[in-house]
Amino acid sequence: MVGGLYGELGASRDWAGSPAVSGAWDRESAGSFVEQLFGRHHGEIYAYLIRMVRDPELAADLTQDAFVKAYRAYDTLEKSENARAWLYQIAHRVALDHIRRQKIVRFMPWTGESRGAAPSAEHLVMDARLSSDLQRALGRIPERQRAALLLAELHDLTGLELAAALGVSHVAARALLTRARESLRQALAVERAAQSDAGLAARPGEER
Amino acid sequence: MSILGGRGGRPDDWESQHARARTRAAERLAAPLDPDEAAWLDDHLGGCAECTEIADEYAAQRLHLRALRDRQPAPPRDLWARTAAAIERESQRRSSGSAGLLRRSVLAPTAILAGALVVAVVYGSLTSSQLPIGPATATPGVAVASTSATPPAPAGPTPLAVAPRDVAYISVEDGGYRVNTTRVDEVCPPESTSCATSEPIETVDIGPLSSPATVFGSEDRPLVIVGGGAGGSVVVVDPDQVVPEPTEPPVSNAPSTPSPAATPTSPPPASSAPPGTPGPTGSPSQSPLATPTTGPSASASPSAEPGGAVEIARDVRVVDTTAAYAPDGSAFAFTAVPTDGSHGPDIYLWTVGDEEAHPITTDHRSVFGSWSGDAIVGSTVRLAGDVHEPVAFVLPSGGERILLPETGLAWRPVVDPTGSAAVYWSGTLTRTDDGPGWTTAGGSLVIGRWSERSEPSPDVEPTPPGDDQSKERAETTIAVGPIRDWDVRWDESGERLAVWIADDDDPSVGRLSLYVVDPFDGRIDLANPPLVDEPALAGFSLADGRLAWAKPAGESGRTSRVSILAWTDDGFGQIESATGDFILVR
Repeated sequence: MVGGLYGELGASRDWAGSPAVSGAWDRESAGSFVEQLFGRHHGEIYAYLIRMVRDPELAADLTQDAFVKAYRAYDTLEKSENARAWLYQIAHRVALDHIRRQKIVRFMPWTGESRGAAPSAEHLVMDARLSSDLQRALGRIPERQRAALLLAELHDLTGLELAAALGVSHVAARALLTRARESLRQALAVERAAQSDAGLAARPGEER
Repeated sequence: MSILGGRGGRPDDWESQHARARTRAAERLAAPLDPDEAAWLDDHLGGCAECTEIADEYAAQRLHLRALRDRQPAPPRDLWARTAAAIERESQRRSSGSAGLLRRSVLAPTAILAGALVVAVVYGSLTSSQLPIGPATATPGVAVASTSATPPAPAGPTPLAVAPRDVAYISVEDGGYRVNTTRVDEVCPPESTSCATSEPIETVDIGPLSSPATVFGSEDRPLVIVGGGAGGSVVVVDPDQVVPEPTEPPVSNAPSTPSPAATPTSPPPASSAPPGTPGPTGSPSQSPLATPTTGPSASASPSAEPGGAVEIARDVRVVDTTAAYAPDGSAFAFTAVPTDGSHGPDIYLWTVGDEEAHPITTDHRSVFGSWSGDAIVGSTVRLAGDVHEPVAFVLPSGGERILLPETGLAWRPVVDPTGSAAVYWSGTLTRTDDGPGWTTAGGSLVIGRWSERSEPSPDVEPTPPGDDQSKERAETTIAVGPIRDWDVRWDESGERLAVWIADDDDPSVGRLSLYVVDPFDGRIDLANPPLVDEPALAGFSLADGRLAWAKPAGESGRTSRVSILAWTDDGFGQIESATGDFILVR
């Protein structure tokens, strides 16, 4: 039943030990490689990006950008077994580039204002979901720390993969992750305090 | 200054031992510590409550993050088509100065074709079946089906394989009642016109019951059968205590006829009423069991007698269709009023193995909404001038009731598994005509933001939303009221939501819809549900990737049948039972 584009990939999912892909860039090999890479990883890359930018359409655009960049940079991947971390590194940079370029993009909450649209009922429902303490707190911590937490805890990257994706040393990645945990802890406390204050301010003087 | 403080390569380089401990506690979540450092950390945490609290917070934070793994957002279905086109443009850009290069696609022709045809396949499913593919994206299986050079043929009658799960229902057989279990491991795609009927793989006769109205189940737990007559009783039956009679293996494409009757394995108790006769049976104190095999005596237990049923509540009338087993199956909660109409509704709880259910509220105006973990969420009523308004509450296991005025007007809230959204009646109430209870007045059935506290707030009394509750609670209307009755269930993932709304004239039948909740952002697509306003008898089940309900008898006199809608990432399919008089086990 399984065959064709993704089926072929599925049949060769164990990339470990496969020939290295480094060498001169050629369009045929790059195209074939990215095609397989997309089939295997596009879901998780999209998931990572949507968690970074909190906009489904934007995340789709950035996912597309990431794979185009992978196509361009095909010859920089030295070992095929590192392809996943390498792809995350590209996606991570795509996300950070966008966030830095578009300083108005907020991680949380996203209500559609950045595109000039009034929040729809669906957006409000979405916002309700996203407005959990954890989600908002994630939005409060620095992007690199947020990325480290997402990659390590949600996307299950190993220490070495995390370092590769973040473009730092293993030790630096571990330190970043440790700082991220503390930042998130403090952000959660701030978030809860803010919520409590908002609750008080909303109905001052109301009878209990 | 960072709580983690500076650190060096040696233990005495740390700004403080607390900073060292907190850093190590965080690091330990990523990788095991050096044994000496781990021992030191454990020793420190043993004597430092503050560091222990922080370490616990790190661990909890990690658990919460990991819980998000299950809520993977689905990429757009056309993502590959878009990406392939972008790569093609990039390829052409790079090669624009390279004369002599073959101007052909950098990607295999099938790759681009696949991206385009994914949409076509999905569209075909939509138009031909009215059953849209769920939120899953262009999955490999779908893409594969469309990679051939020929246009995609409509999906044939090849069954759609789904994870094997059992669905149970009760049928009337030979004057008694029978628990049927049917295994669903494949369903027919919507295009198929020759869908097989699903025959039960196991049947257990549980003897005559008097006018059972609704039946609730939970894996490996007794069935809770609510009587629909005036007798006012709730009984439990444990089919596992009856030796089942295996049926013949199901035959694919079997004709739509009732399965051969299985040999009753336990003699039905003598009945003073015509066996299998639905309807009220007489005196208010009469049990739904025509002749109870076991009374609610002190020695009785739900599994005391093979094939027998045990009465766990009597002289009560269960109100509303909302009742449920706890997620762990340890207890069953429902709302009931006394049959003599002496007071209003209370929530009852039956702990599995107990002899009787007990009321756990006593204000006579409380109704069950749902379980939220091991806590019960419900509503009570307050009088604001002349207006009856609902107030939600949470009743933690072993704790006291905590009112949740901050949720606004919320009647019968059914909370999703994440605890962040709920479906509830947002509006006012009015007294029922037929008893000391309440029903909806002005308002709507909505899905809205939800939050609940597990402890009272001694210092800060939560305030209700302002005038615009709809906005503050981010409510989306599912149905405008008044509504006579409804039933709402979330699946385990919180990604599917089924809503049944009773007909105004006959609350035993209604319309069932299935909504898809976006696994990540919580969007609910009300405009394009996978199942919309399907006629259904009261009671349905939603779990394990399938929705089961009983179709009412048709106008032509056709008897009802159990219908099961199941789905995978590849799409939806449906299968039906043989016809008969069925009550679905929820």
